[in-house]
Amino acid sequence: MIVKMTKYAFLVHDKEFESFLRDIQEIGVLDITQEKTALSNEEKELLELRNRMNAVYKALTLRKVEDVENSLDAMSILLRYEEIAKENELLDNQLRKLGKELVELQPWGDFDPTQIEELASLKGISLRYFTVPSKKYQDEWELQYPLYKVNEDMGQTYFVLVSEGSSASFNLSANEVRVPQKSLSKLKESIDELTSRKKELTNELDELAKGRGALTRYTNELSDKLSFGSILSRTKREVGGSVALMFGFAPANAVDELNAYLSANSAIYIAEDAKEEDNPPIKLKNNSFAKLFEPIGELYIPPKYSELDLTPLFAPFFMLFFGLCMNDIGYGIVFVVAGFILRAIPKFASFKPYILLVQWLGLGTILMGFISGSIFGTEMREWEILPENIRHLFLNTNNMMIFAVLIGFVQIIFGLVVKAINRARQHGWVAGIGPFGWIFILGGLAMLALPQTKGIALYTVYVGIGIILFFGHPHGNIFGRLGMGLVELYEITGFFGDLLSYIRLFALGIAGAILGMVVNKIASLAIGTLPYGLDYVIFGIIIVFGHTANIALSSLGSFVHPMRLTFVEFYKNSGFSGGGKFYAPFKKSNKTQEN
Amino acid sequence: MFVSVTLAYIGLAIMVGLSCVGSTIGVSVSGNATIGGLKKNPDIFGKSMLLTALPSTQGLYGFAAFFLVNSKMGALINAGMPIDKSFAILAAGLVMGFVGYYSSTKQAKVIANGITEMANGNDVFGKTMILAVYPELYAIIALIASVLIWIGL
Repeated sequence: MIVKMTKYAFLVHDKEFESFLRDIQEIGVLDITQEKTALSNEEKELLELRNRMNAVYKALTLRKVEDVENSLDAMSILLRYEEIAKENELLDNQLRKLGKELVELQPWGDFDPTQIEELASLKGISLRYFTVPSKKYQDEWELQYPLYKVNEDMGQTYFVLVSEGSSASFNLSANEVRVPQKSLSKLKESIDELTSRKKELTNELDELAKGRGALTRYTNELSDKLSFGSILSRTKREVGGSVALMFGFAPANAVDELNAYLSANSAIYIAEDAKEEDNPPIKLKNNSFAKLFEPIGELYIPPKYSELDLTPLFAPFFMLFFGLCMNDIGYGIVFVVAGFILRAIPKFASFKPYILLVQWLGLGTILMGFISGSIFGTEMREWEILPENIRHLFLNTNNMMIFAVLIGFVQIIFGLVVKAINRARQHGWVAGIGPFGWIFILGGLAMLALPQTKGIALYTVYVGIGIILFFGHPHGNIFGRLGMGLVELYEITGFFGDLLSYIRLFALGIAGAILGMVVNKIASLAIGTLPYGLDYVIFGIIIVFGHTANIALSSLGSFVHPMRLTFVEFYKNSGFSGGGKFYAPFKKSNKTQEN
Repeated sequence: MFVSVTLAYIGLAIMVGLSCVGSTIGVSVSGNATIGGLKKNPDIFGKSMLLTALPSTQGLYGFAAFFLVNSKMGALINAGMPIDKSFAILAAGLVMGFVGYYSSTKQAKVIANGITEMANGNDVFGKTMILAVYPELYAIIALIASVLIWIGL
């Protein structure tokens, strides 16, 4: 159901406008109509600051720290965090560089390069460093040249050549490497230093993370400031800028506080019931079952104000379609049980609506699973413990396909009824007659399939065609009506397309069931291969992992395909046009929305 | 009999092979789009991961059809593998393989575009899901065709 809205128009003196807005924000029920204009520089700065805050908040929430709050304020956390992040990056770069040097230096052992330099400057003896693959190293080099083998490691031989003066040339096929600049122990020292600095920073980050509450509050403040400033600057000023003229909408059932405030402050305003032309924002209000399906509906577009909210109408179908696609009693039980377990964990309290939705979908899976009798990849039809007269009740592959199309037929007819109601509500009852023409035509065509009703089937179709020709488009003269009706009759091909589209429910179900069967088959191959019951352990592991993977993949498809059937086939047949926008009241960010 | 058995197994190979190749390409294309999009907007990972998984189903359809047909192969070979059944299996393989391949690779392009838009900040997750399922319908129809052929074997 779409909540009725009240439209407000206010005239406020410009000087009082700011404090007036503050009070409205405090009350928090009014969705203020705003024109979209480019952001001002100040707004851009605020937005950027909020993005930075969000980034820091996200980075800090990843840290596991105890839940005590410190007294740091948000701005200093932000600045300090950004400093630390920068320093950390620098440290990481340095550590990477030093790590490379360490690998290069390690084979040469720990020595002091300054002593070697002294040797060169005082005695004129210089050292050159070489590496060569050990296979290529020849022992006679040691006799021919003044070289000293330092180390042999990982198939490389490390040696130095000693030369007096720098001009001496050698003809060796070996790689000369850079002269080490630091001693190994010094290098290790600086690595340790950097690592301990990193550790310090990590500790500091943990300390900062305790100020997450302050960050959230500050981010909320920024959001409020942004929306406040936006309304303050964008609201039209009339009478030479001295009066602000503001429009807004509030749910008709939640205006008491607002009205009391307005009359207490003797504000000048007009309040009236919102009309379709005003394009009021859309707020949905549904019973506890249909409410769970609202997030699914929100993935598409909101309805128009005067339309029916289709959420409660597609919810039961969605549940059954999901069940047909999963097509396994066992998987349904897994959903329901998992839901109960998750609901018992306090951490998931905020996800309760989603968990409940999963449980309902699980219930649909159990119900629909019984139609084909598939349970954890086995067919109840083949269970010998069940009596024969029960076993043949389960539908076989062919009948499942027909069943999927039949349930689609039911939804299409239901959609047409909804369309009739929708049209009657918006344009008067005559407009609501047209969709019944299609119901007669489709019903008549279906009756052709049954021998008992075959006789009257064609007459029913004729009645339907007549209704569409004369009432399909009831506005206009008789020739216009007939012409438009003829055009509408072409849509019959669309209905066949829609009907066939529902066949996917069967195909997804059978694909999931086959994969479940494959898991069982692979698992049963393990039995008898290992002694001491170990084969049963492997059997269990394959069963659990296989079916988990199958549930995960099947549930994705089982969610997406019913969604398409809902938004494309059902929404189309029920004449949904959509195009509203969701209700977003102007309020303080930390004040939770009430229903 | 040699020819008919060969034809049937070629059909099976195309059925499972080509549809799985399609899914491999499909999930890689959409996976690459996800990785590209993460740089702009790291928040989309959860949603785009779901989208990325969509082209994987065609391979599974191919496998499901393969499993059904393969389960009848033993009995058929014992019965001398009639050539008409071989052609039926080859036909099922061609349908499932090619439709699965194209459906998956084309679906991946829809998804990749959706993910790019999500990375740019447009919340088109639900709409991408709906549109991405359009090309999948035809792989489903191919699967149904294969199942019908299997029933007739």
